[in-house]
Amino acid sequence: MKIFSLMKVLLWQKNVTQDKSDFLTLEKNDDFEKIGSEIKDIVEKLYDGRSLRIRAVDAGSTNAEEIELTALNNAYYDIDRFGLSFVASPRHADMLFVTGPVTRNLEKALLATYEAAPQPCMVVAIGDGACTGGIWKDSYAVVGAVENVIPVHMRIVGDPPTPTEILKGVLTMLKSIN
Amino acid sequence: MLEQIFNYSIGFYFLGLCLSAIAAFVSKSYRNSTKLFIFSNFLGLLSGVIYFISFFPQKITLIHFDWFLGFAPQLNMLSSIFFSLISLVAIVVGVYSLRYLELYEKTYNPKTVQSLMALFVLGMQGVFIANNSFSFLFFWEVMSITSFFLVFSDKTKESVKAAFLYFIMTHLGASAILGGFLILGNGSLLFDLDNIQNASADLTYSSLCLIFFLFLFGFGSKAGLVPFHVWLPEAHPQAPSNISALMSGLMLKVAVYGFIFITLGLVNIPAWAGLIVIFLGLLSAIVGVLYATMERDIKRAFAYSSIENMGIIFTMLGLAIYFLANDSNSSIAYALIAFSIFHAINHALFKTALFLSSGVIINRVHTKSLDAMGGIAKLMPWFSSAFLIAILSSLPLPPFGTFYGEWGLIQSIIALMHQNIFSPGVIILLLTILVISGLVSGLAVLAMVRIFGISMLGLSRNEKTEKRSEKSDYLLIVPILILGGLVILLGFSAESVISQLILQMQSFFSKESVAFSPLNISSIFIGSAVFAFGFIIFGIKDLIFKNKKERSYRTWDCGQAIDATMQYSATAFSAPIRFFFLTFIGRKKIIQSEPVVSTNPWIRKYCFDLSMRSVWSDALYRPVARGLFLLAEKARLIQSGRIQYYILFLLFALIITLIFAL
Amino acid sequence: MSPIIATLIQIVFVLLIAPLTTGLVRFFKARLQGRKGASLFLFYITLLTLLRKEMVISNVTSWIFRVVPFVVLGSSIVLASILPLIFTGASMSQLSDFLVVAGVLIIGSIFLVLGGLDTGSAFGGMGSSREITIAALLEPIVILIFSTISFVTNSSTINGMLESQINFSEPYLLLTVVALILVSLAENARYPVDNPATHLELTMVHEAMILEYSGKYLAFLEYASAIKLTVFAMLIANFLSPITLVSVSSWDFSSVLIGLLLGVVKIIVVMLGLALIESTLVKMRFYRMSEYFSIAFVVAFLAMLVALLSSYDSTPIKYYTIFSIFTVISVVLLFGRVRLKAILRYYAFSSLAIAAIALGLIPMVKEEEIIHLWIFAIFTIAIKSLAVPYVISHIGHAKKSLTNLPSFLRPGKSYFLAIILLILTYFTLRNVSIVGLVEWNSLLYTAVVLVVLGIAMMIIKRNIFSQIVGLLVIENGIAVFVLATVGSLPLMIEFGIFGVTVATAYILATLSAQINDLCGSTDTDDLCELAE
Repeated sequence: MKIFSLMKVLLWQKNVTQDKSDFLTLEKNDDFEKIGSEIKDIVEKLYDGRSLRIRAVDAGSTNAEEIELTALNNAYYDIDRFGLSFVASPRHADMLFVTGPVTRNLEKALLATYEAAPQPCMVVAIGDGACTGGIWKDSYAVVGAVENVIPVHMRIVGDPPTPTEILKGVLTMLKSIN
Repeated sequence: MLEQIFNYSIGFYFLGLCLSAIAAFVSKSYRNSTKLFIFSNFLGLLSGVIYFISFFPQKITLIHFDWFLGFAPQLNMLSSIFFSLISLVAIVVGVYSLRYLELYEKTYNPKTVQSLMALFVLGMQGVFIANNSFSFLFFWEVMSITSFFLVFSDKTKESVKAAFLYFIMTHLGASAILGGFLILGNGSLLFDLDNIQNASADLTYSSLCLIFFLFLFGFGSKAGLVPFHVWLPEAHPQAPSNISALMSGLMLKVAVYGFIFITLGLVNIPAWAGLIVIFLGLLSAIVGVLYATMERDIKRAFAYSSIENMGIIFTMLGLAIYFLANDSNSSIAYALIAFSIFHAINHALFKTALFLSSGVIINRVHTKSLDAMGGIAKLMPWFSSAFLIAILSSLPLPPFGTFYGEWGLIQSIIALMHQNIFSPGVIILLLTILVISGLVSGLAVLAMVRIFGISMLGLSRNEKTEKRSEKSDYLLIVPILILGGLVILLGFSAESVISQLILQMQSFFSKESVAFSPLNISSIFIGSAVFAFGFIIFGIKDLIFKNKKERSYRTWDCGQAIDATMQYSATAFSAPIRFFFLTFIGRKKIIQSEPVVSTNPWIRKYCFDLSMRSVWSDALYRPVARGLFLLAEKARLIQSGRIQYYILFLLFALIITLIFAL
Repeated sequence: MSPIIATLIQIVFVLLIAPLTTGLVRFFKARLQGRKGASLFLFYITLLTLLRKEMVISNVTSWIFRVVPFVVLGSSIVLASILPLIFTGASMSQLSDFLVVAGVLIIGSIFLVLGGLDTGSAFGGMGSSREITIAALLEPIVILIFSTISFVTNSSTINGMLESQINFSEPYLLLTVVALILVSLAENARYPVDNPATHLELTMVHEAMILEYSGKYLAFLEYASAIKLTVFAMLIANFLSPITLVSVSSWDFSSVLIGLLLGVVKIIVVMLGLALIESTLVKMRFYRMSEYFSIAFVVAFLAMLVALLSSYDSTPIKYYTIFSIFTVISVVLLFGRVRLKAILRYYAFSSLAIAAIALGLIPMVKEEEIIHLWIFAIFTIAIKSLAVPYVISHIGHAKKSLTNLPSFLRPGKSYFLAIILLILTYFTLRNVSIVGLVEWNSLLYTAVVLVVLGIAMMIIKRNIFSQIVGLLVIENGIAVFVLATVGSLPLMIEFGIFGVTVATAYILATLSAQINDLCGSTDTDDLCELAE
């Protein structure tokens, strides 16, 4: 019985995925223009970023960003269709998603992750904490923005940024380079 | 002319071995003796080659020492195979010993070890040239006693204990063989070994069964068949590694030779005898491989793997006995004997290589425990590649000769299934063998990969590991490479070797020639697959390897630095198997926890202890030993010390004698 | 054209299509999850991207780490070249002795495992330990499966097995292919043995060993596993339909083209099946793997047994015998269960098996009876394995108290009783030979066993719902008896019987539910007190 209801769900369910065009609205972003040349090089080496593997690194976030990143995998946002996917090891990654203001305890870990990932590899700072230090800025317990530890190629602000914003940011960057 | 060279070379071979045993004490260094040992083994190999070229497969009697209890050394088709094999392996082990004994000058007395080693090889070779039961048992005892002394050459408490266990078991076995010969020879010790067929034809059914069991126990206990195997995992690992190699690689083959030569020579063996051999063989295979996967002592693991291989060989022999007794499918039965001999040859080569490798490893890490090894591949790349070849050659994988042991067994079973004459019992038997041999070969892969992976790869788990370069140890590494190469060579030539063996086995045992039935082995094809394999890999490498960017960095550690203690240990590696087969193997697991500070119950110290129980010694040997002690206790009652009692016993004895006499 | 060209074509085909295979299964899975999913060709780009990247190599590793990707990829390519995937009788097909194939598979596993151990990380070791355990326990099953086919086709190479057209009407083939599918799932690290998409290191098997590889080496390893998946997919499809293979001795351009097209079709179909399996199953806990292997082993063993018996026996084993065994097994399993849902599930299985018996009988009855058997089968599936369980569970489900149905005997003892009953029935029936029944002995036995077990169930169970199921089991037994003796009944009567079955189930279940509402218990003992 169960198998039939399961089959029904599998084969005749409603498609809930958000439309692709929602993510691909090109917006002018001054911040992006500045670091664009650096990133361009990397993306070109990676076949225009048609297949990017992402490693998420938590450098002391409140887990808000992590929940948004998890949401990227679900059927609504469906990050797979853009050729992006999360992987289990930085050795496999083309892209690091770093979240959180880098705490002193995780500074070494973040650096190790960056070193462990094979070049070319781009780093995306996600959330206010990772971009600037957020509300923890200048605290004794944190190092501050991710760029204090490793080079950052792109920033997606928000506390936390919504999945749409994250996807939009990454895709816009990829598209504007091509 | 050639016959004379042959006679002299064998004569000088034995003389050389004796001289080498003496020279070890006479000359200044044991090295001269070792060199003499190697040289005389070359003579042995030479005579083997001469035999194969010009006399094969007839029986050759070298010389008659009629004054010495009718001793007339002889070589026949079967013994010559093992004779050459042992000379060959002894050369390699001799070369290894040159360096190995130098490294262990302090632990062992190299002179004694060298001298005993020469005598040990002499004993083994003597068994092959024996012509009557006396000379057979004489050399058998030389082999047993020298190896007994060799087992405790480091004189530690454990090795003495192991040696005595070995001593008891091997002499129980020897006395069983003696009993068998006495019954066969009708009480005569000078029973001619060529007469087995005639002598056994005259025997009654019950005495035939009796001698079968005696020989099965005698040779089975030497070969380490379960449940007579308890001494093997104790004694083999305690000896120096070159001696372990000789014991595991060669001495077991002497038992196999004895079993094939004598038991298969008996006529009119009942079919159920074959079933017993199959049962013991399968039991040994499965028990051996399970303990080999679980064992943490590297040499014991290899010893258990020997038990497993012996189990496979005896399973094949048992099948052969069964079908010969049923007078059906004798061509497949002879093929099975040929396959078992082929497997025995391979086992001699790879098991020697493995034990020699274990010596090199132990020399570096100074422990036998797998849980304290690791990281040797980085220190010794050449050795690790030699060891990898040895490990792979011990597995039933296509390019290696060992593959054909399993291949032959399974193909024979399928061929037997095609004979449309079987009862459900036989089908179940064949299926059981099929399944267990498959499982055993799978688990053997696990056991061997575990030993290699844990001991060679990863980080070193032991601070005492010596970090010196492997250049000075080339004498240790080359022998292993040679043995591995020989197994590969056997794999390539398997087709011709096995078909020749099958042909010879048929004529050897049945005297009248049976129609030769070629089994379709495509070893040349399979051998060429290796080339294809290598070629493809090489091709890919050259084609795509343009991007050569690479960088060295720490192992990915999730941000927290890792050290050697965090690696998967040998115990953990086999944990799933331990779990899946928990019902078959005993284990004792103790977890103790106590608070570090008595006031705080939350911070605790945990102590974990896991040990394998030997089901066999618990269920079989301990009760027997306990029973013996109990009996001895009871017997002491008789010895009260009073003279009256003794007179009473005298009276009883007199009465009983009278009853029997009248 | 020569066999060598055939081998080359086959290798190139597999190498080219392998990334697409991985893409296909991901695509189907995404669609089944309601996602759009990645492009079919994404994996090609991923591989190219990886080839361009630099490699980060752990400083702990030795030379073994660098050898591993080549050996693993090499072993996959060797598989693709020696197995008959598109052509039979290609140049390297002589090598496809099944033990050689098993050996090549094991070589790949061994080196992968060594690569995992060489990094010195805990994850690698864990993955290695699991992978080699799986490989070791699969070995006897692989040998059993191929020994069966080798025994039947009298050829030790897989090429020869596929060349001699396997007779599909033999029941052993179905069982072997099922076992082969189970083995393939485990070999390729798919559900339920391993989750290929997991990010959680502790649940990984295959992935854990390649965590440390990057760049080219990673590309090699991922490519190797894609090739292996493709090879297994085509192999399974070929065993199911050996006709689709192109024989090298008689080929021309069009047949090669058709063969290649069929190859693509086979991969698509098998990947669709794989995606369905992966969407409906969950990953098993690793320490429950022994159950999975036991199932695969039992299926393979059964196949061997069936093949042997049907070749030795004068009356070969046919499908209906197998299905009657399934019927009995599922009823025995039902016997010891306590949850209503489990009981109903096994009831549905047994009914399904009865329908299969009816279909299995088709080749041996007269022409005009075939339609009856079809109708019987369809109605059995529709009513007994769907409608009746649905009705009962729907009514019973409303009552939470029904999750645990009390019985006079504990499950272990129930199974014991059931087995004793099976043996007793066997000895009672052994000498019974009713005219016309001699050849269908197994069906008679099944019928009697079902009736006996149904009655026994009504005796030992205390709950009304189990009583109902017991009644239905008895009814099933009578149905099998009818199949065995008469073969078919007039259509009206058949419809009547099915109608009555549904009605009985519905009325009894409703009544029971109402009794439950009324007095708060469905235990027959409690209800006895009610009568007083």
